[in-house]
Amino acid sequence: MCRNFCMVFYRRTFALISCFTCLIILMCPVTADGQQITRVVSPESPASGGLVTVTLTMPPSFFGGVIEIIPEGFIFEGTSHPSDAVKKAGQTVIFAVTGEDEINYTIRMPDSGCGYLNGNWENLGEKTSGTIPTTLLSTPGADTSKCTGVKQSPGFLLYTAIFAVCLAAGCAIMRRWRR
Amino acid sequence: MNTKYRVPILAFLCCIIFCMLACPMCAAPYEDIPQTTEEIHAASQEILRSEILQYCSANYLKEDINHLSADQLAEAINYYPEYPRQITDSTGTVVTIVKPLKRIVAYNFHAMGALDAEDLVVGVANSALQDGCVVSAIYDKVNIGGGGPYEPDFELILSCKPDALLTYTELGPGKDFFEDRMPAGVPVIRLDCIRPWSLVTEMNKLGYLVERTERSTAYEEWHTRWMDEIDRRLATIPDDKKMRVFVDIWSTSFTDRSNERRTAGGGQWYSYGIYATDGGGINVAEDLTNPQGTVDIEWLAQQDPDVILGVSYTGSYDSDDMSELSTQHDELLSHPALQEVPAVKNKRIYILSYRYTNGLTYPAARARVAKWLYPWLFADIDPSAIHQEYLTQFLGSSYDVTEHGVFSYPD
Repeated sequence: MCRNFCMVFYRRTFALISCFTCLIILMCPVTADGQQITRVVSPESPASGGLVTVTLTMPPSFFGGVIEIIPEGFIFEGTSHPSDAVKKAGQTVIFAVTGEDEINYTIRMPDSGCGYLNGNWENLGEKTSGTIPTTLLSTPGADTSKCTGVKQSPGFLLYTAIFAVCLAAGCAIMRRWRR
Repeated sequence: MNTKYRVPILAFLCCIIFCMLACPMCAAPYEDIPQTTEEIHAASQEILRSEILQYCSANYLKEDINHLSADQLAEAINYYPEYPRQITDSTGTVVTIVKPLKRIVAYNFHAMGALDAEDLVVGVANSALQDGCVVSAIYDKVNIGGGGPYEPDFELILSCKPDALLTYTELGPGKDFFEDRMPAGVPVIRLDCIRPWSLVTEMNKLGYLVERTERSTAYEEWHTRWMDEIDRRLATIPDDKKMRVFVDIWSTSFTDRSNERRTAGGGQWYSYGIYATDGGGINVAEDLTNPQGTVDIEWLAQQDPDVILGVSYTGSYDSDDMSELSTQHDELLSHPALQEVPAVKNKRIYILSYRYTNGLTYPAARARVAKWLYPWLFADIDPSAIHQEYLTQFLGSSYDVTEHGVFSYPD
């Protein structure tokens, strides 16, 4: 009986560890290998109709594209990035990056409202791609529950879903093991 | 101001402004072909940025545009800042190279020899083999067939595993044979290097693509030095002293009818009339619009040309048979209808091989024509020496043009 208990304990623990290992591996592309592009806005609390400077920081030797999607009602005002490396189409701005480590651009805030800045990147030299964590832009007093733009990047949603599935599976295994 | 004049005046001003704005577009397009390392690096950054924007536009904005694949961009980035390299070839097609070319099938080979880039060539057209006596490396290449009216063997081309195909704009097979059938990612580059007015531009483009810009720059310097020297001397000829020239294009083979010759007006037959005007003469058929270029022998006699300049589609480095050119010369000299023509009476009939005029040796051929037309102005210039200079300097050949070859007649 003692031997049986040890076998069951061993199998379920192994399944549990495997689940979390899978989860960690799946989350790796988002958080590891120095590929992440960060976005910082300044000022953090912009005035209505004021300008916001957005700074994107790339990892070293990044060659590829950065695609920023500006929420409706917000206006792309310009960038210090070379003009032959920028393309604007509607609310989407594409930056071609050939080794630069930083991109600065400015957005004009609406008189009132809020929205999420979304972004994607594609490192064409290393054939990797991903999303830039969303950034909330809000005028003073705006109702942030009704912001335009997507709150979370598709990549984050995907990994959250995987995490939820793994967590549920883990819980089920734990319950069966306790019986 | 009276109101009735306002509209016409405004319209006039609009026209003036439009013309001023349009002027740069009217000018001949200036193509800045990178030649130095700094220029090449700057260009590759510009090209890469543009290609990344196009790639992202297609993939994130769903725009239907031509763009490099992710694999091609990765290759270009791997070789950055030497690559990507991009030119507009002579058909107006944008050609982008993402990595060094090492296996070129050169259906048009001759410029590769002058650029010292034979080592990058794996296959050549059958017709190129006749230059083997000048560039022996040709014999080591795969003979893909073709040349003249014959098509090359496409399976042989594929067996060469080419990374690019170099061919002509109009000579040889067209888009349906090459562009439509080449494997994806293998560019077809159409640069002629045979027309006098585009030799330098095309050489610079090719030199840039195959990493031989030192050689293309050297060619440009050599070409410019001789062309400027000829220009300088011809500029001393007053318009009323210029020779009237009839350009006789391969008439012997073109027509069996003895009462007909073929010539070139402005812009016809690859503008062969330029051989007359570039040599300081006046093309008597300049205003001819007949698309075939055929003229009646009586019309020719009425033009009273001082000189008849024949262009023959014969002649080569591997032949010493001057009859290929003398046949055309003798036919003109003995034609009964031309006996009162000054060019015939004074025995001023000269024949050029197309192998001499249609190619990188053009400065030598031009000096030959200028000397035929104005011998006193070019007494100290030896066109054969210019030709020899080209062979020695650019092909590294010991071939002696005074001993061998059929290039011009009677001298």
